[in-house]
Amino acid sequence: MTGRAGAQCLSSVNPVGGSGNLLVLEKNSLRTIAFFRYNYGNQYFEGTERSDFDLIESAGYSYGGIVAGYGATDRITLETELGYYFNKTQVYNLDPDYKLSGSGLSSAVLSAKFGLLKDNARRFYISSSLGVKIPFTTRPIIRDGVELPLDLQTTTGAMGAVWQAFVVKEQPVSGTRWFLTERVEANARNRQDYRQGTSAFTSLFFSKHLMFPWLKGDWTAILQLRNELRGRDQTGDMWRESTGSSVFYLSPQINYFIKEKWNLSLTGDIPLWQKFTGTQLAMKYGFSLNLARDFSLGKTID
Amino acid sequence: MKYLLLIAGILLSLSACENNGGGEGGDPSEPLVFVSLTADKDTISPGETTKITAVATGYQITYTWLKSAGIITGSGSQVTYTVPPCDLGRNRVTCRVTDGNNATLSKEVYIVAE
Repeated sequence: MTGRAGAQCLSSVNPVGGSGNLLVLEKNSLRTIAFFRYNYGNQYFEGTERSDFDLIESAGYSYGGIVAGYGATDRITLETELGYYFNKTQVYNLDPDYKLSGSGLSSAVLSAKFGLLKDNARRFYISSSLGVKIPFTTRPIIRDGVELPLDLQTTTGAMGAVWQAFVVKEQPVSGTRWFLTERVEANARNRQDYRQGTSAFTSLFFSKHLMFPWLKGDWTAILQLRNELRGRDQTGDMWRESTGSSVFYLSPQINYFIKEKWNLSLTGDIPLWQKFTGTQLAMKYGFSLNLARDFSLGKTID
Repeated sequence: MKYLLLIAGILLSLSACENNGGGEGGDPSEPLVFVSLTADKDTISPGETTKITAVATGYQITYTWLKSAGIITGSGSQVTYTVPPCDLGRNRVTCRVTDGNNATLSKEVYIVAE
């Protein structure tokens, strides 16, 4: 999984966070991840430069999600992602000021993950997954008699496909780990003949198990460099203006293993470089909190 | 008696306030008529606003606003419409009026964002 941020003129994606769900599970084991994510933005960009355009004073969302995976075999894991936007809010620079908010379920993702390579001697692993994105509703949210803007809808109302790949290299002696993840989402058209552009999120992680005499407990520090590439949206046969972007994020993350069972992690998202087609509101910062645990069938993994 | 009349008056006022948008209240036999839907401007630039006004008569009217793109703020019979830069083009705004008998009428107005 890669953490995903939001920008305006880019509608709903399921925001997930963390790095705890890379490889396939052992047969008959279950992995559950609960996470909370918050994103905030208040600055428009035109191309790579800040823009004076200020229709939206600020925008943000808070999102809670669950990822569950089950090891059907030693090489195939079945997964599902579900989530709920507690709020997606935009505050407008209108006279008088005005705020719109939406909330609700986002799209679910059902996928199968395959273990492609498992080289325990070299501690090198590759897995890949393919899934389908299913919206919880195909009808737009209406609040107080007004249909919310696309950016505040919790789902685009369209089906989609999600492909992911995970490459992991571990170096046990130094307590370090490199991993590379890729997530591509392609979307169908919704009932309004709108199609969200294809997106590709590429993340390179470096993790280091922290071992200091003064540090109690099981801590890991992770640094992630992520690129989020978004294609342009379409309505009918027309490309939508001011959609599509490429943004690089730096995401520091700290993990704590609680009693060797619960994995708690906190991740921050800071945009390093961003290029937008046309004028778009950019993300300023984001963070996510993840809690994960693995279970064997009927027995806790210790 | 004076207090009873006062309480009855307050209750009547509250009842009238529940008639969203229309406020015309009273007669369930009054037919629903959607008179007009107009925008102050038919062309706007991103960030610019235009008022859109619906005029309808009938029994306990409610207004629902839909759009093909853009941002609608406000509620009731008059709303404000604007577009972010990603919603350029000829955008449709639909107003659907519904009366207390669940009769529904719709009108559309097109606003060009450029």
